[in-house]
Amino acid sequence: MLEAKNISFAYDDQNSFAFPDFTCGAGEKKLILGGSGTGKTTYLHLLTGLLRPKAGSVVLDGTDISTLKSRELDQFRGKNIGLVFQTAHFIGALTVKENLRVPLWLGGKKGYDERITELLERLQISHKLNSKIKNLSIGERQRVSIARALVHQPKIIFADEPTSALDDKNTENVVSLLEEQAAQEGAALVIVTHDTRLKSLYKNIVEL
Amino acid sequence: MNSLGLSIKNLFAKPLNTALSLILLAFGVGIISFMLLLNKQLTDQFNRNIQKIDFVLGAKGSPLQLILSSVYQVDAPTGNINYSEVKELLKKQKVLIEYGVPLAFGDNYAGFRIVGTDHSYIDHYGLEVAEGKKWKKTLDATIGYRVADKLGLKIGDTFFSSHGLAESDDVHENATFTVVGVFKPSGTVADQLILTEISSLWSVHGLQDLPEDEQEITSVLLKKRSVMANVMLPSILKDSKMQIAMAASEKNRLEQNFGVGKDVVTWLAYIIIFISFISVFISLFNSLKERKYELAILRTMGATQGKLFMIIIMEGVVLAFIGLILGLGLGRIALYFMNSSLEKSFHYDILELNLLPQEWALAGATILVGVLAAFIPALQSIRIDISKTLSEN
Repeated sequence: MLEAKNISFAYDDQNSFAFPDFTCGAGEKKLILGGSGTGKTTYLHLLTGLLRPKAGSVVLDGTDISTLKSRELDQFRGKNIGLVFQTAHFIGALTVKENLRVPLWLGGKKGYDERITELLERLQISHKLNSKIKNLSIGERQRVSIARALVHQPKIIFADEPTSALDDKNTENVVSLLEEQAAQEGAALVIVTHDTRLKSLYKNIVEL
Repeated sequence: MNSLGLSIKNLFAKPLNTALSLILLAFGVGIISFMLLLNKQLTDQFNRNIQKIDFVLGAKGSPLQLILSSVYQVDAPTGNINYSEVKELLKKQKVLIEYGVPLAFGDNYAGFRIVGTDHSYIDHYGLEVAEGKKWKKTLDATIGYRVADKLGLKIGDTFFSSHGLAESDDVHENATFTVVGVFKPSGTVADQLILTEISSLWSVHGLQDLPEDEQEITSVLLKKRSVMANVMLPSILKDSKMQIAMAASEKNRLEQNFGVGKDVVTWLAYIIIFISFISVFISLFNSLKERKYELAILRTMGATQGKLFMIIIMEGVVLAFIGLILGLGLGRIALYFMNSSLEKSFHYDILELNLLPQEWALAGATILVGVLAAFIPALQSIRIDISKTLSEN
């Protein structure tokens, strides 16, 4: 479903990076592993269309996203990709519920209020539905950010360093949470990390 | 959730910044709106009273004072003039003058001016009797509706006049006025007057038995028949004790004098609006720096550059719109208090709360201020490099 071929990226003319090819089928889970300085974030941004490759193609669900116009790319990404960031960032002026409505609004989907409640219940934070983000703990924020990545039913979810700040026990919890939720939604899951603890949990690994 | 909703929530997440911008905007808009309303009301009021009057004939003195006292009833008259000379002038100059309304005044009852005239005053202002009848004989009084309202005077009530144009103890107890009628509201100065025969004024002052060629009145409102009157009348009167004051030019002079103060205040208001423009700009620009990451996240979730641009512009517009509404309200509240004080000193009734044409222009300009102040921050939101912003964290 996602296929990246021969992609390379250059910040300027001198420094060009080539990245390994990447494929991920529907509902599959994959790990992209790399230490700092290996271009993990750049790779993630290329795969999700936040950056455009200098060469090569990134095809998601039959659409070559490197050929889309900026506007089309934003909309395509919004519809098909869910992102979980290392540090969970939200729209500070909005409540949990309103933050979850944002991807739905941007993706042109309506009437998902029940789904928001259901997702938050599954992630055991439904009691924070009407709280402002600033009143949430770090753990709660991460759960909300997982809910936000899933709420608009994307085909693929990318998680950037979801475990880097966590101890062993919580690392396992977060990973299984991500996997469970992605599986329930039938979405593919790609975790990008330098955290070698995750290596043992995955068969499909791309190392940078 | 939509762009407008998000803009509003963003604004109210920063209540202090938002409040500062709103206060500045509201004051700027409020002062301008107040000036516009006041100007409109005074002009309307002046025009309504001066309608059809081309000149005021009276004793020599300040022409402006003559107009103010005879037309608007707000100043003391310039002196008295001989009534038979007036009648002779009106008879001789029929080519120049269509008609004249004689006025005799200088007394009051409880602060309301008593004006002696004839029924041509009623026709001139188009007054209609609500109750009772028009005055017929000496010491009959037909009163304006505000006089009746404020003093609780009814038909058949009697009163003594007192000397001068303001309330005083110098009461003329030798002659008793009787209320014979009350006029309908006309929106003119007549609402505030007690109208009677000219002979009532003579009677009050013990002058009723003077020979006809010694009788005096205060002034005459004139309607011209020919434009020649503008040139001819002053030269005809050159050697007499009388003068004519041109209503239009004195009115313009009055408006110009009032206009100087108005200009200063209006400029002050423009400066306040400019400061509020800066305030909106700085507040949006700063919040944009803090919200750079939020905006990048919005892009990852499918917001196009155009959408971010609109969200920021909308924040400027919403601020301007709320400031505008507050300002227009503020202008009207200020006017309301101004009216209560004007009513006492000028005996004028002015209250009109509709949006003026110039206020629509003011509204447009204020919204434009919002758009312009948001424009540069909105452009910056377009230029945000999402990848860089997200990896900087």
